[in-house]
Amino acid sequence: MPADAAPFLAPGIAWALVVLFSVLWIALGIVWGRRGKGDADDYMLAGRNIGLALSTATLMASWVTGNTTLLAPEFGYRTGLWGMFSYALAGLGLILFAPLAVRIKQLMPHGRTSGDFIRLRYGRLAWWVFMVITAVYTLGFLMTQAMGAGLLLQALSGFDYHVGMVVVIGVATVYTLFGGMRAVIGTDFIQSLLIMVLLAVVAVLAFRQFPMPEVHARLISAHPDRLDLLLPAGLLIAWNSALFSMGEVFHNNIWWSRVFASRRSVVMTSFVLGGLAWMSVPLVTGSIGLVALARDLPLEQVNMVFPVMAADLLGAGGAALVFVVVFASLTSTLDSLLASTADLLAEDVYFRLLRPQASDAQLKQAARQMVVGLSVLTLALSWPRLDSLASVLFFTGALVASTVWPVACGLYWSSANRWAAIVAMAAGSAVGLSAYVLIAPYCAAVFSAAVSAVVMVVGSRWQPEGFDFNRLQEGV
Amino acid sequence: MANALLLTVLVDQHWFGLVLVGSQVALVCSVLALLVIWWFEWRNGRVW
Repeated sequence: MPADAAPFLAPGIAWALVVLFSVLWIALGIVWGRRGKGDADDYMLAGRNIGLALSTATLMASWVTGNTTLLAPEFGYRTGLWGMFSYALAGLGLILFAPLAVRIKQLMPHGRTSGDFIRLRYGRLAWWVFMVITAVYTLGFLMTQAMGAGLLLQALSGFDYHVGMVVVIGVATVYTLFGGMRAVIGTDFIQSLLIMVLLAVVAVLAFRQFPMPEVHARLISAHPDRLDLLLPAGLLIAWNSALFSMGEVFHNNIWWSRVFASRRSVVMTSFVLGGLAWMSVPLVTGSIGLVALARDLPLEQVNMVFPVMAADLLGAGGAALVFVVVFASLTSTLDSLLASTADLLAEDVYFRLLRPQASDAQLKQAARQMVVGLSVLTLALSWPRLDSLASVLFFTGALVASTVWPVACGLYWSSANRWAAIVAMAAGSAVGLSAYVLIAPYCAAVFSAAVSAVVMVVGSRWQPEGFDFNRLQEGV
Repeated sequence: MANALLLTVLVDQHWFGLVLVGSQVALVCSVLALLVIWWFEWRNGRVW
């Protein structure tokens, strides 16, 4: 949609919704932040004892990004059923991480970050390679969410790009700063319920207006390829989506911090339930894309298919529902990214690298300063409007997929060699990026993970390390 | 053309409806499951 096109929602209503939910998130964040002992562990990991409901909801809400609500319908519109399925397969990352999460909790009951694990398991050089990969990925992820906030709020309600971006980042920063991980996890619970309930309402109302048999009949006659289960591009995208999501989840501190924050008895179940619950979101939003295709709805910009459909079928009420879903999706992802990345920097860089003698209070203060610093950095990097947000994120798929095997092997296999891990991450990233440029963006993660696996297995077989897993527990 | 047709498996109306309704039911069940789990944990003081 061009910047000067009419918004779906009147700016007055949009501002009222923004103020209502911003006040709610900030107030709840501050109240929840006052619970607990108030030490660094409490601030960074919510007291390490959260139950199944909050653990599942925070995984689900953090994984529902602005992309899930807008890119999945675009996938459905462009690629049909396989577009929906391939996006939904990203939930596999959470499900496959479940057994690893249990292992992490068992090996590192007092651990704080994914960086802790890499440093203790493979040494400082591997840690540097890992930190570069996670920094590039996290900054790319933060930027896509920030730019997405500016663009979406502009398209939905006519907000200025910069105003929308500042509002969303500002709200997420304030409650994360004051409430820490408790605020993030508590608001995630409400945000996940809000997202799922409103999406279900939009989908049910949309299919009441345009019944499924009619959608199917129109697709069969005009776009049969969208219903083809053997669509070659769809199969390739599905593989890439699954491997990309594994790379994202296996390496990123968002998910490791949830492991450390959760009660040991709920870790496995929460990752499986969170992944399964998440999978239904892109399937439902993707199906809205199919309705738009069946109706031959004129679209100036395909990634706006979800709000266009909601506004077209349900009027101003539909636009308001989409606005709330998008606002909740963006804040729930941004707060998780800010909190867990701040924890990673405070623990791994400030405490372990720069000031090992820092007190608990200083560590907590460092984590708070990192939240503010990351927000300012994200705003600065996202201030100039860039096009093609998806390509920024796809680019990082080549990097993160290279960490899957070093992480998995390092957790279970005592022979996993530190040099093999370093070369696996470097070579996997290099080959994945080459595939991204020379073949196609959706091949990047597949090549990266394949090369990384071969290097990891061959290198560790050739020179087994014989790692003592007790060192993970002793080192933190 | 013949090869392309041989490598095509189109979803019929029955399975199409099943996928779409199934995803909506899964979404609603997820909400209910989360609320029930939260309620049990809240009663036992095990939310946080």
